[in-house]
Amino acid sequence: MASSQSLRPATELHSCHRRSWSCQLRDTPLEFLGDTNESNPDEAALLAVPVFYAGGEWDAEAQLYVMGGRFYDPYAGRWVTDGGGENGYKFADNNPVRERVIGETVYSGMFDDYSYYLNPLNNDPGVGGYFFGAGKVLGWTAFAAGSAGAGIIYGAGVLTTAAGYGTTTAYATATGGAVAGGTAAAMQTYAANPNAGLHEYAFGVGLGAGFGGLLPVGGFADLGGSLLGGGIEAAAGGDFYGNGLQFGGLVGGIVGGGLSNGWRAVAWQGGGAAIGGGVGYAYGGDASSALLGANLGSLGGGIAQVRYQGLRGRFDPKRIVIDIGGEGRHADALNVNPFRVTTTTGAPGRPIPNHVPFDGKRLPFGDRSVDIIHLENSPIRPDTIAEIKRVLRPGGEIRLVGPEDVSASLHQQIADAVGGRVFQTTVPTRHGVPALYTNIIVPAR
Amino acid sequence: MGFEIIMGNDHYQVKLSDEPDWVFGLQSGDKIASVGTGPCLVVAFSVWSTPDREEAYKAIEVAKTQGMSVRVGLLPYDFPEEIEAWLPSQAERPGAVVSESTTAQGAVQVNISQKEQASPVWLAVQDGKPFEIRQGSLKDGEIAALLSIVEESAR
Repeated sequence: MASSQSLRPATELHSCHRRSWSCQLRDTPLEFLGDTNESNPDEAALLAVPVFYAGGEWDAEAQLYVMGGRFYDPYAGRWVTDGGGENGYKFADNNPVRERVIGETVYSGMFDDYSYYLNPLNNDPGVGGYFFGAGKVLGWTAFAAGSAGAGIIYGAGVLTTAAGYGTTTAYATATGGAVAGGTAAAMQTYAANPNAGLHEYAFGVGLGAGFGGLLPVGGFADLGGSLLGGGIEAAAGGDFYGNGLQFGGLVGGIVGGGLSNGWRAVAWQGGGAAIGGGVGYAYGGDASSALLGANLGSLGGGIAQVRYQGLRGRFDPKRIVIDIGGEGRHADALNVNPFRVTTTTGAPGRPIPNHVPFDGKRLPFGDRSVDIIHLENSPIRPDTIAEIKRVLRPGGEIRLVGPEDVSASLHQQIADAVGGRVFQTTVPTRHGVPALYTNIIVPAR
Repeated sequence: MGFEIIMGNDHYQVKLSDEPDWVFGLQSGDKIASVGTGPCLVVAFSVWSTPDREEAYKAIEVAKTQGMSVRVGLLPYDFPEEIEAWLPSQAERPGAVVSESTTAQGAVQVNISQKEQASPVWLAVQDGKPFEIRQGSLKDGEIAALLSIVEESAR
C-alpha cells in the first residue's frame, strides 16, 4: 500500500456544493472528473457517474474508496482485501455493467440470476423448495406463457420465513393463440407470517377475448376473473381467516367477484384473470406464488419461466444475521432499519444494503430463527427486548454496543431475558466516551 | 473532564465533570428557553449512541482548542421527538434544505441543511431562537466555523 501510494500525485477533491449531499461530485478526486465544468452540476454529475458507481466514499488519505467494510482501489481496479469466492479481489465480478455492488457492503455485488423453464402442468417443487427453504430468495420473477389470449400477472410481496427475509416479485404472462382459451393464471399469494401484519391486496383485470377454455378456471368465483375473459375484478382487505371482501365487477365476463373466504382472503383469491388471457396483479406473495402463477399460466399449453434473483456472496442460508438499526457495517447482516439511507455509517444518505424496513420493536422474522443479532448504538425499548428474545435461535448470539452509562442496565435486561453467558468489556472511544461491548451467548437447548 | 448521562426524574441528564463553566448540561425534555439569553451552541445527541456522544465531546474539545468564549449546551434525548420543539417549525424541519430570513432583530437567517434523521443536531441559538442548524457528524473545522457564527452573533 505504501509503495503504490507514493507514486500517486497529490489529489484534489471536488468541493462544489460541499454542504449539499445532492451534489454527486462531492469529494470526488478531480483527476477522475477531467475537464469538469463546476458551474454545471448536471454535466459534472454525468461525468462522475462511473466514479460513484456503487456509491463508495473517497478516502483521500488512503487513496481508496471506502465501501462499508471493504476498500476499493480505483487505481488497481480491485478490492484490497479478499471478499471470498474464487477471486475475492475482483470488483463486481469483473463485470460492472451486468453486476451490481449492493450498497456498500462487502458483497462483491452480485446477483445470481437463474432461469428455469417449467414443464407445463408441473409445479416443480424442487425449485421452489430449494430456494424457498434456503433463505436466499430476495426476488422472484415468473413468466408464464399461455396458449391463448395475452396478459400479464404481476405479484410482489414480502417473503418472511424462518429462513430469511426478502421481497418477492412474480410476473406471469399468458400469450399465444394456438389453443383457444388459455389460462392466464390465478396467483396464490399469502404471507407466511401473519404476525408480520403485511397488507395484502389483489386485483385482476381481464383483457382480451376468451373463447372458452380447456380449463374453465374463470368459472370458479374463488379464482375470480371471468369465464370468457374481459372481466374486471378487484379485491382488497382480508385477514388470515378470510374476512376480506372481494369485490369486483364483471365486464363482459360471466363470473367475477364474490365474497372471498380463505386464507388472506383476497390474496388467496388472487388477482387472476381467467380465460383468454388477462392482467392480474397480486401483492403479498412469496416465492411459491411465483411458481404457482407461472404454472397456472402455463396450463393453457404454453411455457413458463421462473426467474430467480437472489444475493450470493456471504449470505449464508444456514446462518441468519440481523443488525437492528444497522446501516451496513456488518457485511453478512440483514439491516433492520426504518430508514432507507445511512445516517451514521460512512457518508450519510447512502442506501442501506440488505435493507429490512422494520425496527427493533417489530422484527419480521420467525420465532427462534435468527443466529446472530447485532444492536449497536440504537435504542433498546421493552418491545425490542421481547422481540430479540422471540427471534433468537437457541445457541444464538447477541452483540451489543452502546455508551456505558446508559447501556449497561439495558444490556443486562437483554441478558436476563434470554439467559446465557455474558461477556462485557468497556473501551473508550477516540474522545474518551466509554463504549460498552456486550456479547451474550445463548445455550443451545 | 467530560460528562456522563444519568437518569433523574424520568429524564436523562448531563452530569459534567471538570468542565469549564461555559459548558452546561441540559436534560431531555427541556424547553429551548432553558438555555437562557445570549448566544450559545447546543448539541442535541441521542443518549444511546456512542458516535453522538463523540460529537458532543468534540464540540467541547474544539471550543477549548480554539479558545472560544462560546457557551456550549449539551442536550440529551432518548426519542427524536423530544427535540422537535427546539426546531423552528414543522415546515422547516431538517431534511428540507431551508434558508430563509427571520424577522426581528438582526434579521437572522435560518439555515437548515443536511439530511433528515441524521444526528446529532447542532443548534446555534440566540435568545431562545435557533438561527443555524446542522445535523450529523461534523468535522472539527465545521464545528469551529459554527462556533464562530455563534460568537459573532453576540457582537
